[in-house]
Amino acid sequence: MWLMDRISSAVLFAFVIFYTAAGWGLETWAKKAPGPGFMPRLLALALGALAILIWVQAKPSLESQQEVESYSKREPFIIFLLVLAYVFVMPQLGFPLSNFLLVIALRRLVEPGSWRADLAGATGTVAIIHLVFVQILALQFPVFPVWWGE
Amino acid sequence: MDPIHGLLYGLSRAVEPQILILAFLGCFWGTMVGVLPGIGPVAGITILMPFTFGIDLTSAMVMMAGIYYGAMYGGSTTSILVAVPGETSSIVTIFDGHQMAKQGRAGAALALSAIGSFVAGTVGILGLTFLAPPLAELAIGFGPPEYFALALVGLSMSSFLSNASLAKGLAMAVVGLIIGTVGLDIISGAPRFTFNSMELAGGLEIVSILIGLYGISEVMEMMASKIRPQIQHEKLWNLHRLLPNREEWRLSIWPIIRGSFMGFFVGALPGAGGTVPSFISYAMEKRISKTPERFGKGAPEGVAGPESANNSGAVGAMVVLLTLGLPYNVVTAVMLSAMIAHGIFPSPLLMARSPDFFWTVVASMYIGNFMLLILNLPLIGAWASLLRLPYRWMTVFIVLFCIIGVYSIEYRSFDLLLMALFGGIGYLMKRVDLPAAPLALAMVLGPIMEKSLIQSLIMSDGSPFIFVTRPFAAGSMALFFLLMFLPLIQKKLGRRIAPVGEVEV
Repeated sequence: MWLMDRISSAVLFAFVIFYTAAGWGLETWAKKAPGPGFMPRLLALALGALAILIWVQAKPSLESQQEVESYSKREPFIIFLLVLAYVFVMPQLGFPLSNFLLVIALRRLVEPGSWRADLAGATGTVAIIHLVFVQILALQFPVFPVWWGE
Repeated sequence: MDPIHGLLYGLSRAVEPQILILAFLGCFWGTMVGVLPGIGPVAGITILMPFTFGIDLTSAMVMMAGIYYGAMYGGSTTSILVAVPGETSSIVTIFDGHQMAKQGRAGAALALSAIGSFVAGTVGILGLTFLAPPLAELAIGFGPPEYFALALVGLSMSSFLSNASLAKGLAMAVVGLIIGTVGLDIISGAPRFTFNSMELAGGLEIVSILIGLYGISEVMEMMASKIRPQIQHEKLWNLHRLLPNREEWRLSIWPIIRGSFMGFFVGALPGAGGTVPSFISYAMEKRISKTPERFGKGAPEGVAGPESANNSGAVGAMVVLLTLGLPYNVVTAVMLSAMIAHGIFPSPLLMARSPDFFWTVVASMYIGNFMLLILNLPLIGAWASLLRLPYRWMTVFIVLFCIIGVYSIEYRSFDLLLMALFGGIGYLMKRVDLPAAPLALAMVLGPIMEKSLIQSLIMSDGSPFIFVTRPFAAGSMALFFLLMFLPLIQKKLGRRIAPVGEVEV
């Protein structure tokens, strides 16, 4: 945990610098009352002090190599990328098509079955989700891709 | 309205079909998220929260409360059957509950857990019914300094009780408060950290961040962990024989009663919720037992006590939310943000201004408690079969529900982006041992704290001594400083208090 604590501390400190710089122009005290910059200054000071404390308190790790190795780095990163990609793709492709692609990708990533089963599963899931949320609950999702009406 | 009349009125509203159905759905969904390892009550409520915006607040709160204590019931199932806690308050149930399952007494362990939860839930709700009105009356005299001090104690306690170091917990609480400063200043209306963006002007959407932190990051964590809960000893479970034998009853009655009362009062303390009472109950039962060596080897009191304590603790946490308007754990923080989204700002006057809302929610808890007993005892086999649900389906549905929930709030891709980013941040936080609970709590408490701080300083012409000249605020500030310096005091005395999860059991 030693290295992790040092990294966390450095990231938090970098964030404090960014936060302070971004709120530099905010007034700290206006007449007799605190201004909009009062709380941010206070918080930046507190976080800076805590980041230093985390750095100082960092201790060598007790976590065994085996424990570290029991975690996979690849899958969570792919999940993150998939969700991030969905954010940009959904407004372009519409809700059902992007859901279909996301479900296929997730099923292929997590315990993949045969392609036929995964395609059928994804189609069924998208149909149910569309029926429940768009048709019955009338949520206003973009149903068709943006080029559809052109 | 006195408690008896209030309760009768609430019961007449709580039996309306819409409220009954939503209470049932909440209990059902809550039990399900409690049973499924990986998603707890926070994720369960946050994922469904956007869907509650389309219904009235009373029904929404009834459903969310059902999810909360449903998860407390359901969490014990996985602890007993597969030694994987459905949520943190069920961790201690593993020690003896799973041992009982291995000895062919799973049915009895689940029954003790469900009956204990029912008794404790009832005790907790009775406590809420009769203690909330006087507490609210007392709190009417509270001004901004008292609110600021109470919120500060809540945040520091939540940091103190997290499994990480106090410095890390506090750092995360400060990050949560910083997130709350984005948007228009609540006093002057000046834009802060908006970078000329329209999306940021309204502040960061708390629900999107919570869903990212507790929904998406949980999926990433599930994927990262190569270890899956293995269903073992299934042939031994004996789920058809649910009734405990006479000896198990004898050993469990007092732990259930003790856990129910202790859990309620401890649960109402800042940061405690259902988790801390369950650990205290286990330690207490082991200490007062004449045969402590049986603990960890299938002692029924090791299941009955903690399971009762975590349920009444969950109701205890609701007392502070409904009377003071302060959330003291993440689940109640999520509920508070739902109430604010519906336009209700809970305060000591809530009972006087919205008796319909208050008493219907309380009365629905009684009904929900019965529903949970019925859902959990005869259907235990069905809940256990959920553990066979393939991971590929669980991940797909959690991710889709998160996306739909976030997008349906304001139909903005920006909120989805926020959810994705905080999903990644939440996962990294887990990897580097930074607790998410203080951050989540601080995000919700942030605006309340800032407003109270500024109002207090305006009241005192800028003097911070206002926090030490008013007795209640001074007492709370003293508690805050005690918590801050406790690690140093412990070091000096050569002793230390173990955080939750490290309690000697």
